[in-house]
Amino acid sequence: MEVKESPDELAEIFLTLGFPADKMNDKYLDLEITPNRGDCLSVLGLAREYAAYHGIKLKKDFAELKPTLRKSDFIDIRRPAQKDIWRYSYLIAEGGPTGESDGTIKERLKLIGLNSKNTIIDLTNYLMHETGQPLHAFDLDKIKGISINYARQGDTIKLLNNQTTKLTEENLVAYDGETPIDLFGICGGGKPAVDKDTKRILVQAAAIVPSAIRRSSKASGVVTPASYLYERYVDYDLTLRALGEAAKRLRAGGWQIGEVVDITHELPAPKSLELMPGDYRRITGLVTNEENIAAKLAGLGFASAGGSSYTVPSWRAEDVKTTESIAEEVLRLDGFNTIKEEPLSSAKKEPRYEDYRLGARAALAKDGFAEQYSYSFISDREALAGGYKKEDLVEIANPLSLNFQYLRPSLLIGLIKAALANPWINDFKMFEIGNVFLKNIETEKLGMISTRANDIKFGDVVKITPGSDLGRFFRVKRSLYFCEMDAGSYKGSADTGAYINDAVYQTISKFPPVVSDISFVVAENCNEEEIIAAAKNDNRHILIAEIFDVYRSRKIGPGQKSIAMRLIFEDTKKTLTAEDAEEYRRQTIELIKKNYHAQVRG
Amino acid sequence: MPRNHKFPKGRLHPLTQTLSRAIYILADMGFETIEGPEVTSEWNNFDSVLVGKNHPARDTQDTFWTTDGRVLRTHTSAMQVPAMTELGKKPPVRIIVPGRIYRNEATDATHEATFYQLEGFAIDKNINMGHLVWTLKTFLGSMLKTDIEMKFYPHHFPYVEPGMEVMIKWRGKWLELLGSGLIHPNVIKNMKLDPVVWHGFAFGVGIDRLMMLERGIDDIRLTYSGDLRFLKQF
Repeated sequence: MEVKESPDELAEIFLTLGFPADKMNDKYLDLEITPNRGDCLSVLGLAREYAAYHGIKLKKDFAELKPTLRKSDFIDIRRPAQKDIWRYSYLIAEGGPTGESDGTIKERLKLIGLNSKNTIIDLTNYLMHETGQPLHAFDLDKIKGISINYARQGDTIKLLNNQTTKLTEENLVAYDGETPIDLFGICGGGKPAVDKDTKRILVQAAAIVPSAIRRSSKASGVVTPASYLYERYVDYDLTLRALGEAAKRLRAGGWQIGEVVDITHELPAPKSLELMPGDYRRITGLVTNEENIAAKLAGLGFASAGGSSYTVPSWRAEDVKTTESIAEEVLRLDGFNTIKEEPLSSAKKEPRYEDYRLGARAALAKDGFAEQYSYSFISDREALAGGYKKEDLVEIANPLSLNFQYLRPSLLIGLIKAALANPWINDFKMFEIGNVFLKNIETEKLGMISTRANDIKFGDVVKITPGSDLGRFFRVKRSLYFCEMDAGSYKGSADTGAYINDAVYQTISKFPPVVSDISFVVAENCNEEEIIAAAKNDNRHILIAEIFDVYRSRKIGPGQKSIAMRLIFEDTKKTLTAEDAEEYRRQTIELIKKNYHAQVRG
Repeated sequence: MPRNHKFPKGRLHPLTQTLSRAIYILADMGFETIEGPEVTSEWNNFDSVLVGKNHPARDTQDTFWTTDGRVLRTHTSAMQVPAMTELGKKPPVRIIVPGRIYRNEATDATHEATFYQLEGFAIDKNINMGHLVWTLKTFLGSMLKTDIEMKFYPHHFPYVEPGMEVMIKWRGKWLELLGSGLIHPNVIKNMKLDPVVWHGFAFGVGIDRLMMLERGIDDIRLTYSGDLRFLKQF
């Protein structure tokens, strides 16, 4: 295929076809291929897509190698394996030499991360990536016959990479007598491998049911480019085409082609699907005609089957099974960006405060709590420290690590850890609404934690003192107060509006902050939010500025109020010194004095 | 004179703020909010939405399993079929499902094992890709408060056909933002509805990701840290 576009333009074309580029340079594009498009895990597959996009034909014709026989005495595919092997084709070649591959082959293999071995192995790898058909070559002088079946439990195979793998009844295996010589569809065995002395080869190309290879790969733990392809479906009509290409190159390399055998079991029947302009309109909202549908589908290999029916080509057999999916093929070529917006009929719903417990969350924020979201997992040791019995807990079978072994039965552990994430702040309270888990019950709870006993008014209060079991486990430095209840039992409700803002994140320094308080008296009509904003804008080292107390008294006098403000200073580049902090504090005090005529109290 | 106890000001977590805005915007478009369990059956999470046992898509959503054979849901799509069967909703419907989901992957600045997703789906007699595109453009335009450039391109998910991804242009870069598509007829069947009569679209957006874009947060782990230097910024 001749490509006229730049790499960027080519990437854009493949994006519109459904293959975003992960990365690229001027030598290659790395495209994301979804699991339904096994046919595009090859140059041939992608070239087909490109050709369809441009409405042109492929330049290269992968003509089938004509078989000389439809059965073989050399190959025996046993009954249990037959239902999973659609087709087994092979050629025999003699002569050699098996030397070193030429520069272009080596370079291209290197680009896709493969090492060059010898002309035959390189050829099978190259053609697998070019056509999408895995090929494997055996040194014919090293084997007496091939029998393919599900393995005997306990057999082992030594693979090409010298790894020895235990086999089970889930593995399709080629045997030479009693010896496994190929983890079929996945990886060849070391014994009959082709080397520089090889003079006779058998090149096999098989079409295999995807689930068989998936089971085999999972059972053996071996994953290869071949198994990856098979799991995603390899066209059952590709074997003789890939062998045709192999034969061409073998002949050019001085080899003589002997027998060509094609054994088929029950091949999947080609399917026809209907797509009328009416269907297309119903699905996409777009108007088109029969000519466009037929032309676009023809370009992708969907031949007309009369009327509005089209035959699904063999390489799309696993993917295209419904009218919607064939419509998607036309839409892909016409372009998803051509879809015209169609409004849904007008219908408003009133969001309820119970929705996502928004009303409750806002009420707690109004009451001065900061909202926390904690992880859902706790560790074995945390469970113990919390006094939970393991048989009551939901256990994870495949945790990320031992820190994530159980699902939380309560919000307690998460909120203690959140509290401990704030050693610099003396006084705070947090809430969390989230799901907790006991053996068969998932409940939504509301949990609250505070440095002050007064804040924790509901249900059972848990006091976590430094000397308590929990306190010692978490190395709590000062007492914390916690309570928890069913989220639905909390009846507070407020409007979220006041607690939704546009604030943009300011990077938190990895160096410790300095917390500093200032108090001042200002006129009653001074806007607190404004003062905070002014302080922050004045100094980028102020990460947080918040007012933690406002009061009026006879001593302060009428028309005035006393404000206590807490500042958290930080420097992203270093640890703040006492002098730095003092300087910033002074700067803020000056600003407030100047702009708000404040009397600073300390 | 009264002493004011309401300081320091309480905060809604930026995740809640994002979800709250999304819920209101979508309510305006006729979507009702429902929720579902975080621990669910294999059938609900995978089979009901056509991700079968041998499907390679099960790899791409590495899953946490409980020792008693249940699954920590890997997407809020796990609620699509239960909404229409267990919860007894009858079409036409417009539904959103906000919720926590779980993925068994190594955590780093952009990946977490626990995060939030918002599922949206509509089922009616006449629903097509045009309705989906309108819904996404309207929703995202309102969420991000700007006329953002969007690209739509084909993508495969087992539960939608056609399937579509949306990219937005954010600060000069194109970013993948959400997956969507027309609900697969076999999922409609699993909902005990006749796919010849009823059609639908569905979309799912990562809320943590959306929040991080809106706020300029560069490390997802901050979200769950409990650090008040983070929480008090919002």
